[in-house]
Amino acid sequence: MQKILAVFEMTVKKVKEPAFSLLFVIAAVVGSCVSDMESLSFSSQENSLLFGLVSLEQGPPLLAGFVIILFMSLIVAIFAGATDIPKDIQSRMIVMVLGKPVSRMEYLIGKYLGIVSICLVFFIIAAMSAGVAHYVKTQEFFPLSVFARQFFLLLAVFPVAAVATMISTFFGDISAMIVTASYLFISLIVTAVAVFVDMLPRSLGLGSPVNIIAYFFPNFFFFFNSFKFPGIVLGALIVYSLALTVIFLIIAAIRMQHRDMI
Amino acid sequence: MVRYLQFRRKAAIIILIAAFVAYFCSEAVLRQFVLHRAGTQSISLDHVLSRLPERIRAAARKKITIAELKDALSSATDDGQIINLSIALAREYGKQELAAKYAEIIRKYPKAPEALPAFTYYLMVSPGSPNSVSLDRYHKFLAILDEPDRFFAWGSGLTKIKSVSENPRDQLNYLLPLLQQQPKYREYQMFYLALTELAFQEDETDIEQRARVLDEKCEQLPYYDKRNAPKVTKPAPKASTKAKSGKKVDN
Repeated sequence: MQKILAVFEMTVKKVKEPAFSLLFVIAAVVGSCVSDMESLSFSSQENSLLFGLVSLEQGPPLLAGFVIILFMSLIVAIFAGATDIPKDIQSRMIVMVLGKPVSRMEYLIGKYLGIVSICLVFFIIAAMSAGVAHYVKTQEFFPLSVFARQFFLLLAVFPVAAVATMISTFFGDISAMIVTASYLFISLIVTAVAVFVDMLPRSLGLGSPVNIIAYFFPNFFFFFNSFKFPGIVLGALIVYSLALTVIFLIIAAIRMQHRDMI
Repeated sequence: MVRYLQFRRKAAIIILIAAFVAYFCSEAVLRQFVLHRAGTQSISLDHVLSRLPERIRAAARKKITIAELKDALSSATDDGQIINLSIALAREYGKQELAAKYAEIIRKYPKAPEALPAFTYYLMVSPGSPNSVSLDRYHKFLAILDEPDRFFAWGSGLTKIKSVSENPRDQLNYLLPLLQQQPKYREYQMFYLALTELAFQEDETDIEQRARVLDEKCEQLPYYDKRNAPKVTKPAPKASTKAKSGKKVDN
């Protein structure tokens, strides 16, 4: 565990770099800018596709401003996750680390936790900034349940960071970023098609092949559903996020065990 | 060391399997939540289809309709539902399939009221063929129907006979059993009127008289369905008749 924490610390220390400091300032600015945005809603007429994919009817509403903050956090996750390990390999830092009594698995987990922490800090700074800006403008705090719902968006960060980390074990930094972004974009399309196909009659016989393909892609629309909490949907969402994360990290670990680090 | 590595490998496999199980289960729950959320229709098929190019839109819509009917048919348990759905499905495939389906329905469900379109379709069509429905058989089928289905069945049978035979005798023979029964509703007046005219054409005075009596009796009866009232009004006689004022009406 200490070894994992050591790698984690090594990853998080990057925050001290001016680029990351600037990133957090940007997070605070973005948070304050989006603080007065309305709750997310799709009408069945104008946005019928998104309306069909994302359920927003029950539970505390999802605020559009926090969705923007999440997207920025995901960009940070893709950027940090896809570049960290390839850069360590390029700079031979990984050889130094693995030369110590640190296993490749511990290195991978430490790196992943570090990347996720950077994203969480980014999100939390932006969210707090949004909360404070909202209070300054309206003299009212966000209702606790509404604020809590926005933080459940963070569940999307874990699999995205894991995907980026996994892909970074296969490719170089720039390639990994492109492949990760492409994979996530394809995920959105494939999972949307899968939900649509589920609504078609079973006799068309499209359901099974499309669903099998869709199982290879995480469905990020699930993270934007509104739900009552505590409830089975929230539980399923947490399990879904963790399961995806574990699967991607295990694939990354298998790759790490077999790849050449030079 | 070897044992440690084996343990790690086993642990990784177990974690991976558990992760996959958790993934599939949670995904199923979340998908059901999106698909079956209460009180709202998810993605509108019409909206999606309207975005397709016109060339493939009609084909896609037809495929979806057929698939929906197949799904409904596979889950149908009631004979009536099965007949209605299989007719609708055969209609989507074309005339030949529809004719074959009607023949099958007559064979399988000869006593189901929903088989009316099938009996009507084969009424007096190519007499002598195994699928043809004789007047006698059609009359027996009418006897199992309840009102207002029976009234409509009389009407659709008459229309069919008019389309397959121009001989007034066939139409007369078709309507003859109506003389054996007392009308219960005013809607039947149209059949007695037709019967009167046909009997007059065929010089069947006795039948004409009896039909006229029943026609007049219908005048006194209530409508089964008030919405039929404007449709089933006694038409003005074709021959020049005197108006209420006593003056002759010009035709």
